[in-house]
Amino acid sequence: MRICQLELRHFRGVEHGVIVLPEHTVLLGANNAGKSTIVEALALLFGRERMVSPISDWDFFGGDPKPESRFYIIATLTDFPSNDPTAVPDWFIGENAAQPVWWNGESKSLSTEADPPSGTSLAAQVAMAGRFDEEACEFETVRYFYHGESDPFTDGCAPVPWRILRDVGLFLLASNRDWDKLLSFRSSSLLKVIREYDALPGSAIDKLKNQLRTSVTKVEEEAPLSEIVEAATKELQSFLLIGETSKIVYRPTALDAVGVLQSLVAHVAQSSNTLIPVARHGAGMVSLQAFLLLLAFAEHRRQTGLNFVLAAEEPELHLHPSLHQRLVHRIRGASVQSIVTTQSPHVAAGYQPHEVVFLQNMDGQMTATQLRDEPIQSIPTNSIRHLYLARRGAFYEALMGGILFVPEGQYDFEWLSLWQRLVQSAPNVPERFKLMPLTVLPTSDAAVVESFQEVSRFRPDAIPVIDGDGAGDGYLANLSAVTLAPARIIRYGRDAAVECLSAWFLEPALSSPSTSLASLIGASGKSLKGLQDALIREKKNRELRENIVWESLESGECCERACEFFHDLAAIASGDKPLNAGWTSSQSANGTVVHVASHIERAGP
Amino acid sequence: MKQITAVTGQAGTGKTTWLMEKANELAPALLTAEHHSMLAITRMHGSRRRVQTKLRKCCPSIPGVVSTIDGFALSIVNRWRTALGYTRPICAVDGDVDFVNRAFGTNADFARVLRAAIQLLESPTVKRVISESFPLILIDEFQDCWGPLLDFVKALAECSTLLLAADDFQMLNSEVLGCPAIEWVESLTFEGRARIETLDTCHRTSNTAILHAAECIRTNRKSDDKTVSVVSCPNPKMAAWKIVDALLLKFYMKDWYGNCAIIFPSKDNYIRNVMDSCSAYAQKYNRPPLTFHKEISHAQHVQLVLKDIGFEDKRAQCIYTCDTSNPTGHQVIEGVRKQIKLRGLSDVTEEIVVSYAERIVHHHRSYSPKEGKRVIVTVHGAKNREFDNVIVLWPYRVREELKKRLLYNAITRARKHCMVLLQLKEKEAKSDSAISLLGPLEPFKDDSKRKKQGAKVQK
Repeated sequence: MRICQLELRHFRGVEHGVIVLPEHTVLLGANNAGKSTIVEALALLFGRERMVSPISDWDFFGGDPKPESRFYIIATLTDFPSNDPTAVPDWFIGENAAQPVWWNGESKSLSTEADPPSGTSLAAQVAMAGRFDEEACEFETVRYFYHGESDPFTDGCAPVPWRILRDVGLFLLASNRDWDKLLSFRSSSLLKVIREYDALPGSAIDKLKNQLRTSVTKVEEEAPLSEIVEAATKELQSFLLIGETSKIVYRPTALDAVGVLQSLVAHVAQSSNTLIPVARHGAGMVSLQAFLLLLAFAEHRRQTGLNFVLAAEEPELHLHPSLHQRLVHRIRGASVQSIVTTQSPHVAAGYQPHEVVFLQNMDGQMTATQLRDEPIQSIPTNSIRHLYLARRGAFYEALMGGILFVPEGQYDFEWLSLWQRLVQSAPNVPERFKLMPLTVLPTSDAAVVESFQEVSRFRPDAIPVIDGDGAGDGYLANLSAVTLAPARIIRYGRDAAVECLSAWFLEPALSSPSTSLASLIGASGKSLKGLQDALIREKKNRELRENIVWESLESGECCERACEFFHDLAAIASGDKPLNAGWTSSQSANGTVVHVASHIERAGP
Repeated sequence: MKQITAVTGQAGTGKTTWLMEKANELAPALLTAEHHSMLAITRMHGSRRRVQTKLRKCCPSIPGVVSTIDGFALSIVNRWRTALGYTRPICAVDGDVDFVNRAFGTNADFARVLRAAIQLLESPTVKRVISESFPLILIDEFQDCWGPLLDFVKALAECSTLLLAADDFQMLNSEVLGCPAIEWVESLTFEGRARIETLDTCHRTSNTAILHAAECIRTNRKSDDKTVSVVSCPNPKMAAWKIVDALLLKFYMKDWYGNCAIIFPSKDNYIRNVMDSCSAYAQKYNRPPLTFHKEISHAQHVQLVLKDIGFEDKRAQCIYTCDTSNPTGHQVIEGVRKQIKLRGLSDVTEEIVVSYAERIVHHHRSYSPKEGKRVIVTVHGAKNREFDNVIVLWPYRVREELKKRLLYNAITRARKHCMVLLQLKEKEAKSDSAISLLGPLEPFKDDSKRKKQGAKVQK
């Protein structure tokens, strides 16, 4: 059983949004696009309210609920054990039951006809609605079978019994997790989850309880405690009626099942036999162990034929990046369905393009687009396939980033990424430079037009960066002809390519070049042209590039030029005026504004 | 093809009890899984209440759902409304309404809801889901089903095993010829799909007079002997005297203990005059007044409630100004106020007040008990009920086509005693198609029974 579709109405930041969920999903999107909203909506609907924070004003779109305000979370479930509703009686048979609806996995659409159209599988819809009672100042929620639009509070509804929702087996790994709390039985969430899912080893607890009651060392009989206890007992007796005796006995816990459970403190073995309480461990170690415990629990459920759906917010928290891929692999293996939000491109890279859903939220209208529909091998264009294969991590990182630039090719990508990194780490950046987060797409094969088209499906605000040469003219023309042409295009000056950009940054350092720079330009040209020629000549030398850039961190003027350039890029992207006077802009017929950095040009002749 | 088992028989022969016993017999074989239930449906809420009580008593171990046929059809339509193309919930209303979108839902009349349900039942999936949910369906007072209701039952027959109880003589609708429901079941017996069992022993009463009278009406034979007491009282005061005598004075009619029902076929001035005179007599003889609980129709009840809350004068604004002490009226006011709040309306509309009043009255009538020691009720209202003593008030004007059935149903309500008071004169009574079947009339003052001198009657 899995959730194939989720619809949100007037819930938190989403006025309306529908998202189709493949078996394993990773949600990408800017902050406040709705990633957490989706995950928490699922947890609210399929879990107890305590899994998520209690309902409040902010769960209603607009944050100001009126008596008639309602929020709705509607989920469509499919992949039942059978396509015959009579074989799944819990869901479809009875006085209050779900309407059998039909999910078409190919077209990703739902049919509400009475009989199944061909190629569809059985599905059911459950929903949760919430309202605010102004007078009582309380929130009321109800989970019901969804038979169509209605207001369950006024029109009546068929409520869903908790045991059915429990069968879905959704577990939420929230981003604000405190591992110690999560692992200790003192935490209501773990206790409840374990109890709800019948994983409580009842007989073991019982045995432990009895042991603690009877066979544990009688602490109170050892000195010096025995003396104190004796004195206290004497005092007590003087207050009691004659004939009654009371004895004080010490035991490790309040001798009932709850007490026993709560007294258990999770310890993790650090090395050999040293047991250290969880609270004292480093977050990473704890995260890992706790996460794997969760996954083991998931495996157990699956093996007993039960469902397990994992909704995880940033599962990579506290974990070393090298582990992220392995994490994804384990999540996918352990759960029937997983929905993950992440900030890590490594985690995202563990998913196929049709499993990556890009979320956007425009004034409450949330759209969810799969990156691609078809498997990678069916993507026709080589360069695009490359984005999804070899360069997947960088591609996703670019998608998730701030202002996105689409350069012409591999070298542009590498140079720009390096300079970006320099700018981020430069000390004493002058006040006037406002540095915004930028990312660069790992374009390959000079496929700037195709790459732009691909990425503009999710990031229509992407900005192509083109060389100032003849080929660049061609790209410019093609880009302008694209259906959704870019709003802005950035070009280097006359005949310039990215090497000229780097040369311009490095120009101030020419007088006293660093080691790598010196070895690059050699004896000849300490001129700009010489530098440009040298850079173009050595364009394939990756190591040289890296060294040069890092060394230029020493040079204040180089940093300044780099910072200024990136500031200008950000300014242009935001529609402001760039600082450097060398920028010119012109508007083409279809509205695209082309900004040319004329201060960066191929030195000639 | 599913089996149909039906039971027919006259009034008081224990058809409902037979149904229960048959249900107990069939249930273990049909209701094998946890999700199987038995569905018990009837046309009217009155019968639904009675079936519910009987089920609780006789079939406590059978998991069951009790509903009206219309209610069940509506639940199917609402559950699959998106398949029909509607998203908002559907409400059933009176009149001729074809799925009209209203402020908070879609309205449709009962017949259309039934037809939509029949259309849904043609889908193999819906059929399977319903038959898996309710492998056994029990219908009491099946004779009341005709037209779209009968069609719906026919559709249900394709899904589940049906258990039916019917008596064609108790079908009181003059628009319908014969009894289509029973005719349908009979036609199926020829195909071997249905079995009908007929009960003939009347368990309700052992009073031979009543039994004889009932028999005569059914077989359309004039009785030579006297059956029940039939008295001609052209003057309402005469009828009133008879009633007062039976229930208060007991000069001529002793042992009229237990509860009593005054049953009449339809509203008529005669009835009103008789009841007014009753009060006058009671007063005259210094007795406490005879109180009869007047059972009114749904529409009348709604009007009463609306009047009580001041709807007639103030229309919708009465919600704010009303301060009735009547609990029903109070419920309506509170309910409407809550609705306004829940839906966030700025002002209340008449439609909401009326629809809410309808809802509250409906709920009252359906779900609260309404027996009283003395009731005055129409034949329709008395259906399938029984009383210790019955007084039938028979005015001049009664619908010709239904006379026999109305009279039959009125008389067969009685367990111990039955008395028929006519507005017709003796001669007219002898030529009346229904009354004449009851045998010779009883004189107004039966001297043989007279015990006391002194009660002077005014003619």
